[in-house]
Amino acid sequence: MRRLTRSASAWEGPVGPVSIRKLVAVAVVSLLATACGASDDVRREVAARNAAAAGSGQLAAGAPGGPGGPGSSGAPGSPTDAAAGDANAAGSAAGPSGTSLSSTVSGPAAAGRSRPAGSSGIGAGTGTTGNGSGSAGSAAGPSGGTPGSGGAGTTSGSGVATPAPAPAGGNGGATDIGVTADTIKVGGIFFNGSWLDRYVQVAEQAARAYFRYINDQGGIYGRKINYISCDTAATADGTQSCGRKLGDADKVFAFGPSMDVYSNVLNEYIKERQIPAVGSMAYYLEDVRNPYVFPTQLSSMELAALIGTFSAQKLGVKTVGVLWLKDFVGADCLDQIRRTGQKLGYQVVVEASSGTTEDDMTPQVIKMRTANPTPDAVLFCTDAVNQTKFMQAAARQNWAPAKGWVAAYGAIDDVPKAIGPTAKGMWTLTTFDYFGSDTPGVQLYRKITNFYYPSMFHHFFSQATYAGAVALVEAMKQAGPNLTREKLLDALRSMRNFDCGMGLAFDFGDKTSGRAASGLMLQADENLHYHVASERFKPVM
Amino acid sequence: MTRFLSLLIAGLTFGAVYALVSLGVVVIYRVSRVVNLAHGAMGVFAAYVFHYELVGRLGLPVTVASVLTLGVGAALGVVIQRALIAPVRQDGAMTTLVMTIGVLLVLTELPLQLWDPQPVVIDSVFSDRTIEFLSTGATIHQIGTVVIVVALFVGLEWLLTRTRYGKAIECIAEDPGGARIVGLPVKAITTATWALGGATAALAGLLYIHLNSLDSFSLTFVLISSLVAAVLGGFNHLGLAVLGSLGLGVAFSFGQGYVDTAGVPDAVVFVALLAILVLVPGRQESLEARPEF
Repeated sequence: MRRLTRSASAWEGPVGPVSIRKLVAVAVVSLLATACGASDDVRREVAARNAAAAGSGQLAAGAPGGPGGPGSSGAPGSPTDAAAGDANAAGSAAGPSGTSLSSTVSGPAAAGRSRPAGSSGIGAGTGTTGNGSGSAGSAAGPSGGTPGSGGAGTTSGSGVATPAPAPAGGNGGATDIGVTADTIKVGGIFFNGSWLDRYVQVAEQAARAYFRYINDQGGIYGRKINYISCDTAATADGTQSCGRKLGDADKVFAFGPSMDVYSNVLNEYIKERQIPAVGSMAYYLEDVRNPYVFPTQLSSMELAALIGTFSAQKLGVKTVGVLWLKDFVGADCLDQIRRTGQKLGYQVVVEASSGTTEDDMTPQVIKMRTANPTPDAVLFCTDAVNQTKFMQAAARQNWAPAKGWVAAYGAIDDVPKAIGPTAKGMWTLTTFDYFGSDTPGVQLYRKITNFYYPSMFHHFFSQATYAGAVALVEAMKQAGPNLTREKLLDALRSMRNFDCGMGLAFDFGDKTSGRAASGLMLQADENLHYHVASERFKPVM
Repeated sequence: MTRFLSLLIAGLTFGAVYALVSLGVVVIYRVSRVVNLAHGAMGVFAAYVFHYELVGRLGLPVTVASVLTLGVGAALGVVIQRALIAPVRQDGAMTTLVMTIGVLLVLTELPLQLWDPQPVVIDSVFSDRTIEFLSTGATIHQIGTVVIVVALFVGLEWLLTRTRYGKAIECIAEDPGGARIVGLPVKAITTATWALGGATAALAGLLYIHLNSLDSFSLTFVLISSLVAAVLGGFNHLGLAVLGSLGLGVAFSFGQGYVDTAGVPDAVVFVALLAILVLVPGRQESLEARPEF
């Protein structure tokens, strides 16, 4: 009967037409898939611009110049650096490299991209702030700077690193795995294929933008950074595969900025191979404790301590509810909120959990609003998407806690808008200076990232990967021309108060104490826009 | 008591969304013996068209746009069936299933490329005003969703069991070759059923996404729970699928509301599913031993 039924399936059409239909089906799928892959406006636009710039040298000259930032300094651009500029830069009144942005930033990134010959690029200017000895107009084109420049030194506050020129005697060539005379291979691990794709993609772009910025200025001691990213497809297996592909097949010198939810599965591999990893997300305590891993984001426990401290000291809460994500990150965050509460006098009276992809948050809201006593505030130890769903469900029930919502992971501009009117007054933590603010370091971050990826938006994870790129470049610069993993690790461990200019400092010599943790709070206004609503503060751990 | 009633009502209203999705899945399965894993993605895609094209670009009233969106869903069902599913049906159920996964992936990615990936809230024909009762409440949108599910269930049950069309579907499902020999317009009926399934997917997309935000993955995760409900109905029984969906919604709701241990609510539901599959006679048979064609 089955055989008969199969043969009788001629109702679907004779063999010939079916074959044609198969071809059509394959073609349709292929076209759709091609359309998906080919419609990345950002990449196309940037590629086109870069291609054009490659011909004229415009990109190199127009690249956001003027590295530096709070606390940074730098020697003036060397003649070598000036020579690295293009003809457009010749004769321009470009300022000294490494000067403070507050005095040197003269225009938007777009000006750098399209500036006419003779005009100055971003960061070019006439200021002389900083402890370098630069003088106005002493160098043109991409800002340079001497190796090791950077404010009070790279072991404490550094700002954005200046590229290091190639030594006259050569850089030693292939000094270690993944290093040649011309390139340094750096791996990045990112998870696409989840509900957080768009945030992940921007995080990768932020890191890549900074590396391109450094490369466009000559790289580090003559070596360009070859940043190879790998997509885990948001699976732990994918993370394992990516780590081994990058480490064993691509033979990267180091892991660079990464955003991956399963980073913990690579810890043993990283230890075994002793591969430095700079700029990961600190999702897991194991990552922070790994002597070879140097995250540039705070751990969930530090974030929890920050929002707990703020809730107690600024909002004066006595009872809180916590929505937490059902994973290690959420659990650590919840535990720390409890501990902070014990020290500061509030109590977690109700908790509700959510999966990574929750269909409906109404039950969790019911649990919160029917708790006895009801929470003064709801603290979020979950991602922005689940937070959004929760607050939307609360709005449908006409409920909000008396002292408001406080989020650990909500510093993304579109979150209040996605939530809707109930987000007015919502507090959210940002560890770096708010990406919408005008501090010199943030301005530089925006200019570099928007120069290379004009369509990119910002969030605190993209700041973290950017900070990771800055930290890695600074450490490689400190390690010197004869670059080895061992020297890089030594350099990293000597960075005890590293700030890429965006407010948050890292102590890579003591990653676990939480000593360097700090943050500030944003609040959504009537128009659902964030504004900075607190001074930078430190947590009670 | 307040918490109990609130959770019960929340569970029923959300179970209605599961039911909406599972009804569409069952309808398509009944005619073509295909578990359409792209069903949720079809609904989301239609919702994107609703929000960005019909309401956003053309400025149509929400009611008109909603009706047109059902047409979009139906058209999507037809295109997928004719262009992608039909050509591979002869290669067997597994190939067809994989094709629906391919469609799922494409339909999930395509909106991100065509429209703004920012998650947004979409409009609804129903108000979001909350009606309070029994110390709790539900929005008119949620109540409307329940009413639509009941109406859809009654309509589909009538269509599939009381009309020639329904009998034809049953014949085609049992023996497509025989159905063709006796003169049934197999191709047309199959396509029409996919159109019906596509329209229900669009309806589910509109009603569910209003409760959340428009992102390309959302309804696919609802689909997973709806498949559990469909299994309870043997992928064949609309009434059991609806009851299973409501039960699932209530179980999840109580689990989230009363159990502090993370993961338990999900585990309870799937343990129940396993128990039914193992203990209820004949449940597995409805999922297999069907002629492939």
